[in-house]
Amino acid sequence: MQVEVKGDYIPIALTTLGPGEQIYCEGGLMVYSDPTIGFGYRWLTQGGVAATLKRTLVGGLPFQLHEYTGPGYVAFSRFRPGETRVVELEAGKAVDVAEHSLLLATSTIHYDTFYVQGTGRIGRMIGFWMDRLTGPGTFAFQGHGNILKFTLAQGEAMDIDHGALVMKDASVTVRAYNQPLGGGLVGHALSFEALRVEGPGEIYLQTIDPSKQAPGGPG
Amino acid sequence: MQADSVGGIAPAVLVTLRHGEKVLAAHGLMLYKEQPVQVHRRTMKSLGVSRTHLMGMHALGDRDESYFFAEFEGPGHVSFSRDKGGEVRVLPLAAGETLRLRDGHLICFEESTRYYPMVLAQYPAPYPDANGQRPVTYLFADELTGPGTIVYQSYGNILSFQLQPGERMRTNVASLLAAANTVNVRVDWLASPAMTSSGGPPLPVLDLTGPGRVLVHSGA
Repeated sequence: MQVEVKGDYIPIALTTLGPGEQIYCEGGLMVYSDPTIGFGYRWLTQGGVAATLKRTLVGGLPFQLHEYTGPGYVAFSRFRPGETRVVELEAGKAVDVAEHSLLLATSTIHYDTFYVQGTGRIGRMIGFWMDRLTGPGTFAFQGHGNILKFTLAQGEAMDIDHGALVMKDASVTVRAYNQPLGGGLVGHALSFEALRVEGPGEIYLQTIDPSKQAPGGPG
Repeated sequence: MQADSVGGIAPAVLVTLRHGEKVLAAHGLMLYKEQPVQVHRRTMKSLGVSRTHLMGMHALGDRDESYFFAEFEGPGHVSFSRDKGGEVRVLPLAAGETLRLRDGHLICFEESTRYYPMVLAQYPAPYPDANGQRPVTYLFADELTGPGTIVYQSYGNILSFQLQPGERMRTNVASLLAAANTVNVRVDWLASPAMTSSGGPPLPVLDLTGPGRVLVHSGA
């Protein structure tokens, strides 16, 4: 399989699939394809009925992924401004991609999801989902805006905005916390939600917070 | 304080603070920070902006105006993003130099910079509404006076002009990004006989008279 990123502002990932080669993605991302491309579903039922209902009805994640089978070409986009990156995953290596950021993955990549707990305060962050991808294979993801990459050493920590995390190595831990804005009761009342990530591993940040996109906007 | 723009689609600003150096930003703009960077609350009152003035601004409809800034104290790196596309510019202001930047575009500024929110211009609606009123539109701005470095972001690209004394230019009301305090800003109306005969309302524009720097953005 080959993946080529075309365009800068709202790029597409153009994939060329050999006979029998398969990729999957969330529904609604295909821009155009060769008529020879086969289409199917990959149902997401891991964790049983309760976990599936939690993911889909509470988390807003899809029941299934869309599967495309070669030969032919097929192009995908998140239909929003932002960088697209293509990543080769080694066998056994796992990475986490923020919800609604994965563009496509080869069928050899194992797909799972998990939930990053929020701070739990009333009116504050309720958490978010991440896709866990385990190699071997190739995948592509798209950030909101530009993507900034950092490499954290063992035990090195960084504080980031809640909406900034787009991808990380599975070895990087993430937890939500309230960052007080100054001291005292007022400082705590005005606190904002942030994430503390801790190495070792790589993290990728995006320069636009998805939650600050216009309501009803794509992606 | 060192500030650099990073990225091209939706640029962020990366600020490098030495020990004890402080940068102020609107609440909610932080993209990431290193752990040694401390976060404090800086009230408008401590910047010399009275509560009465702020309440007056709120009463006029400036809902973006906050009563405090987030203050980040070095050493370390802190990054900010306005979560939108458009050029990010870093501008060192000389001592006494003043720039009036339209509200909603300021990303951060050095602590030594004097900050004051103001009304840049105002104009009533050309015709009365159903209640017989002519609601007034206020153009708000952040007045920033050096010495100090400020960082701001436009909608789209930034076009820079240096007006000579008495030199004039005209901009769309939404297109003016910033102007020096030496630039006179006046609201004018564009109306042609064709517009009037077809019932079209006249178009408000800004009439700017130099001397001083004028910044216009392309994506307003």
